Amino acid sequence: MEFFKKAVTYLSSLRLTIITLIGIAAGSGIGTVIPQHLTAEAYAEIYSGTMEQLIHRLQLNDLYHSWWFLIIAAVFTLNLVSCMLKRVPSLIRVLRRKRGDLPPGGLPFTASFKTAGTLDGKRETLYRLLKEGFARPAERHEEKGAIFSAEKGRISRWGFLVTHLGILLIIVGAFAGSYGYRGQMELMEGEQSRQVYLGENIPPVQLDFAVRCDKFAVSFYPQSRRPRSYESVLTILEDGRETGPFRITVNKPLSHRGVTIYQSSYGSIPDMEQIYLKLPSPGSAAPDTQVKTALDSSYTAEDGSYSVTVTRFIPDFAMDEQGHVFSRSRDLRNPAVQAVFTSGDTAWTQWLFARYPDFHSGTDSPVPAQFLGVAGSSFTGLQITRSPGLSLVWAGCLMLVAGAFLILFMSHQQVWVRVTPAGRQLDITVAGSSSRAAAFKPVFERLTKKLKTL
Amino acid sequence: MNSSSLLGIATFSYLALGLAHLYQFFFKRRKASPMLFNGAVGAVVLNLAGWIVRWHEASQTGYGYVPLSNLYEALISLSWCTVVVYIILEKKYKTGFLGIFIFPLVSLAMAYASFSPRVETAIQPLIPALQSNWLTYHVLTCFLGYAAFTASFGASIMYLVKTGKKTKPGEKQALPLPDADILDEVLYKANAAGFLLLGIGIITGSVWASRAWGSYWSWDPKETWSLITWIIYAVFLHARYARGMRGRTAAVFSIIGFIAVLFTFLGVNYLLSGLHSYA
Repeated sequence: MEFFKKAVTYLSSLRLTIITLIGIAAGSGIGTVIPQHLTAEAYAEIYSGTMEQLIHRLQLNDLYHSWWFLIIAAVFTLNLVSCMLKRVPSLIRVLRRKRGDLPPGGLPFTASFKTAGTLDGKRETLYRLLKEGFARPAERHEEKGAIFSAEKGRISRWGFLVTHLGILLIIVGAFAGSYGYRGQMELMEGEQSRQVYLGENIPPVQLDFAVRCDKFAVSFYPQSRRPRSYESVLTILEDGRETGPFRITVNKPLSHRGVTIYQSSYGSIPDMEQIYLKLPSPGSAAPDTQVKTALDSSYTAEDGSYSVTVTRFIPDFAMDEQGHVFSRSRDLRNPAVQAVFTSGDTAWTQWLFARYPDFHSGTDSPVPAQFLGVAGSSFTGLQITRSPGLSLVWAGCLMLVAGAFLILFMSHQQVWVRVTPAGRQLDITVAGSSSRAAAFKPVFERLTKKLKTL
Repeated sequence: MNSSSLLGIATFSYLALGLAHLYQFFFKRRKASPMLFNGAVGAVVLNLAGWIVRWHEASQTGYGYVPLSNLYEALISLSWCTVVVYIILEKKYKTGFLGIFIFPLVSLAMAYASFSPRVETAIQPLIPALQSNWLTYHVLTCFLGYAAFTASFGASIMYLVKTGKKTKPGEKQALPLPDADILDEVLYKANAAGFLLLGIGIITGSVWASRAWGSYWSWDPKETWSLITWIIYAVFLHARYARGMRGRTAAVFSIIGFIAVLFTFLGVNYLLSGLHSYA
């Protein structure tokens, strides 16, 4: 039981708050230094020995979802909740206290002095003085005199609860968000789909509705290859009904039934039936000919002196260290074709690059060919997300900011002035209490000074 | 007048203000004269005017954006944010000394922006993702936060110098610094304001990321480091409120926080890669 009590006390301690905060900060920092989400082979290339083992043991390849990072986050959340629970009773006590009631225990600020005059003669001035710096001055009669009281900033007492509840909402919202998804859909004009691609080896999500792209357009800055904007016109198809059209652009997504559709990219799908090559015409004097060919079909020169077959197409050509060819992406960033030439009894293979027409890999070719490019049709790249808990996150953010403002830039200040007639004079006692002593001290001193010259 | 000449004059005004502050402090051994404060207001007006003219120039090229999108514009706007925060703090607390740190720093930032070959000064068209009002809110709140942390850094250094060496009775105090209590209050207030502003900056950044990329948080290095910085100041505020942390500990803490701010603003871009690289 003793142990249990100690554990509960520790769970709501500031020490634990600071330890977990530093843990989260340090862990996050490590995650920015060690590259995330690489393959095991890639890590083996960068790290070796103990460090490489550590990466696997501590899941440093996906640090922000690793067991230890989540444990720290869970302990932080427990600490947060227990701190709030611990503070609620005293908060209720403070907020329930009627205006003018003295707080239990001693008052941190007091001052006593005498001044000439009568209570009735001074009442009006007293009210005016209190009204200058505080709200709602009130008066309560005593046996011999009266107690005047005033206060301001009571709302700032809520700051603690509001801001910490905000953080809790953000955590809950983020946790709920892990049950959502974020994927892609690529649509050509006129095409429709309900399937969201999440990544390799992950089953795609089937939406309850289909999305159709009616139109896609890119506009460019004048005299520039930079896109100014790109946008799609979409229609939602659901239970045989069409809704829309909706125009979406970057920064202006469309939300439908908890699913949000973003304009995220665009590209073009190469048409493997329309590959263009530039080949030398038979007879050295004749100009080169432009030839349209298809993947795996062969083209023979007019005089039969050679023939060529395109055997591979790579949209974004790259080579790994072993010399294996692969495509870095699905975009047409560095399109290349592998062509097999035959002339008489000899055959040779060659890579041709659309972006680098003068560069040929492999041996010098007797047939100087060029890859001109590939025809294709453009598609719109949509990002489709479902993020449950998103509104909780935004509500939490608002509360966090509002609460922090209440705590940092406001404070609850209360003052009491007891006026007791003693002969021809008045005994005056000023008392004050505040949630932020440092900010209150000059306020209290100013009030006392003014009261002395009442 | 075009933006670069206005900003050039602002840079030299800041430099002059920095030198004047240093001169009055080390050679005259007194706080900055009110004339320098007026000079600071003039310089920041020039800085702001240059920034607004660049805004106008950007709209004339047909790109039309608020100049907050590359390192050059970032440094220009961070400078005026810092001087605005300086003016607010100096107006309220009248330390007379914050300028010793602020003006050398901002003139350095402005000069680096204009003269370093690593900083591109041309107006470039914005990619679609950057065309958002949230960019403006995000960058300005972050920068005002950074500015507040810079002021707090200055106050912290002064605090450490002030309390570092006990002066023997009769001996003239080495440097005429303001009261330790005032410095403590300035560094606390600046940290509190910076904490709130950076918090709003992170949130507006998330809102924007959510609208542009469909994800409000993706552990991008810049994002992560801004969170780390924010957490450091959160620890500062907790220690202050619950444990009454003041004095030298608080000052050292603010300096550590400021190192994190510097890393978030510049270090991340040069040492780590991510969405925020000001290319």
